[in-house]
Amino acid sequence: MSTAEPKPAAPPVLQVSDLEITFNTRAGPVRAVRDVNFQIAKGETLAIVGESGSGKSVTSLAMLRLLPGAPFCKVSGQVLLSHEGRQTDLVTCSADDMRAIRGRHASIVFQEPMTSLNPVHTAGTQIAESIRRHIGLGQRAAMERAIELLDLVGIPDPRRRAASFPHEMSGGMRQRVMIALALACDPSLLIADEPTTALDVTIQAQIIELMKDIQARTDLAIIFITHNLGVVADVADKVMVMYAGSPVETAPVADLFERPLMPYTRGLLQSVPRITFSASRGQPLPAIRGTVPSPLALPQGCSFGPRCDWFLSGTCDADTPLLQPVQRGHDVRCHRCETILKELAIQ
Amino acid sequence: MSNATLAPAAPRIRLFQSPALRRFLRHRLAVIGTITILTMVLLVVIGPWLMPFEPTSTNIRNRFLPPFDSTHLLGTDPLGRDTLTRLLHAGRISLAVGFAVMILSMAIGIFVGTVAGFYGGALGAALMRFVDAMLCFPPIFLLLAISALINPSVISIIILISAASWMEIARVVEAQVRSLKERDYTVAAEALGARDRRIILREILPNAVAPIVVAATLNVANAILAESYISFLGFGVQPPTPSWGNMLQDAQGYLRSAPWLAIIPGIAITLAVTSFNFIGDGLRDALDPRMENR
Repeated sequence: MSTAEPKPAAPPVLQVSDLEITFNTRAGPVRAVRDVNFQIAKGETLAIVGESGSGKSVTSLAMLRLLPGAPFCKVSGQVLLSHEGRQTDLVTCSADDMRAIRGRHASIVFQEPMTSLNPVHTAGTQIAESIRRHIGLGQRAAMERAIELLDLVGIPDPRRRAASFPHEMSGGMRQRVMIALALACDPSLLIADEPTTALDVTIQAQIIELMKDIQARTDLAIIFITHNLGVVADVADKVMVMYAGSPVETAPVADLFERPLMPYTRGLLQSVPRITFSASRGQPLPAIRGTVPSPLALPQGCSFGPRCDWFLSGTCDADTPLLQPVQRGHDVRCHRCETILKELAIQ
Repeated sequence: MSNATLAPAAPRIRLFQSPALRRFLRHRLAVIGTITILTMVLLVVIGPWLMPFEPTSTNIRNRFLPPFDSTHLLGTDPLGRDTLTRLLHAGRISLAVGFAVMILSMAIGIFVGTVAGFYGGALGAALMRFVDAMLCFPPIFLLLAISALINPSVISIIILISAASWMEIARVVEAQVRSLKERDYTVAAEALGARDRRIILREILPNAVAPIVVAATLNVANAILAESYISFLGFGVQPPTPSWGNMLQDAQGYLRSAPWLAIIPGIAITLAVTSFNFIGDGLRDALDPRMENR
């Protein structure tokens, strides 16, 4: 999974172009997300990485149109989802089409397994209900399918567990139920919005293994949103790094970890704590100085400029850099990436 | 009918393991209240069949008999009608009015509260301001003013009291819906393609059952009381149909000579109202999960 093999030339499951999200706040309109472009093919996993507030969750919610409506929030651009041989633009399609797609062709798993299940219905009922809604199976058939799904997500004794209420299950088990719920109608796209953040590490690993296993079986396209770079290295084929609402680097996962080019990505990778007893022990963990700028007051030029070690006055604060290909499949938004590339070659 | 007040205390299955039911049973007054209400319902439903008298059959020779008479257990009234028979028939009317008002005002209150809470915005604000405006009227004047204009009957009394008592429930429901629609599982249901109606009926309302049940129970008590006092004031259920309220009114002139005529329906009203209030208290404690560790 860690190597990006060339995929057959079917239309991508999801193609996002020029996605831009603007919130109308009391302080004026805020462009929370802009210039988001990516596509994802069958069986592929795209990881979206970034700090809190970088716009990754908003992007995922916008793709399924789960953000508040028109006066508060405006989404523009194109989100093309391929399903049943058709393409639908999720930004402009009707509310009814959107509802028919949600949970049927594109599903989302949220961060909080403890609160994402309704406490008054059993696990089986909740899954069966989604199946009946979208596929129109009878009650008994839907429940049988729900039990199969619970089995698929690795819940022991699925028949008994289908009759359990959420409060009778652990966090890991509830997240498995959430995944079963998301996969109930065999969607072609799964958006996982920090699905493992609220779980402890051993359960995290199990959930990630489970998702990889299901992907191998069903050719599911997964968008994996996280701030955990260890998880990214494990699951992703492609990575998109977001900073202050826009992608700053996209690359195949191996490239990104071997040769990160955008200074922000480099900073992120350096600030991961490592479990070693090397010479660096006792040294302070390298951190990116400063904080994420407010989307109301982005700096002139490159939005990462003020925090960047490679900052060059007159270039970086002059105009906003574009996301440009540096190598095949590796795009970087940085005025100075040529210099960085050269210096890396020397080392 | 009594099941309506009890069933939601325990989430469907596992009735006997339900901690809510256990907490309710520990609330002694609530249990006594439940038993009292069940007994009253049983008595007014089957009692009249067993009585040898008709509630409207007069007997001039046996006027003003005191209670514990050999044939008339609770005595007779100024027209010689059997008080126990009338009390049981009146109980049918009064309790039926209580439950019917509860159902009707729940329907209105839940509908208005849900619409206001779920859709919010200008519509929600308008609805809730209307609720506030309705609450501004003292209910007794509202009831009397309207009942003076219409032709009183049991049905119109039910509609009238409902119209004056749905606001409480609307407020409770609105607050619940507004908070529950932001819950993760509601958002998750939306993300899985659920429609508004399904989200309201399957995700939101089942989680708001507890406060609704409590409000409904107290609503029955208030409705019985409201029926009593508008009947007492002569605008409610009209004689010869007996109700606890108009039995009190009949007794008014004989408070000194035959006080039991007022005391007997008075006890019935007090018992019913306090029992429902105790049940409401018990349900409130039982259904509040924060009470778990007390």
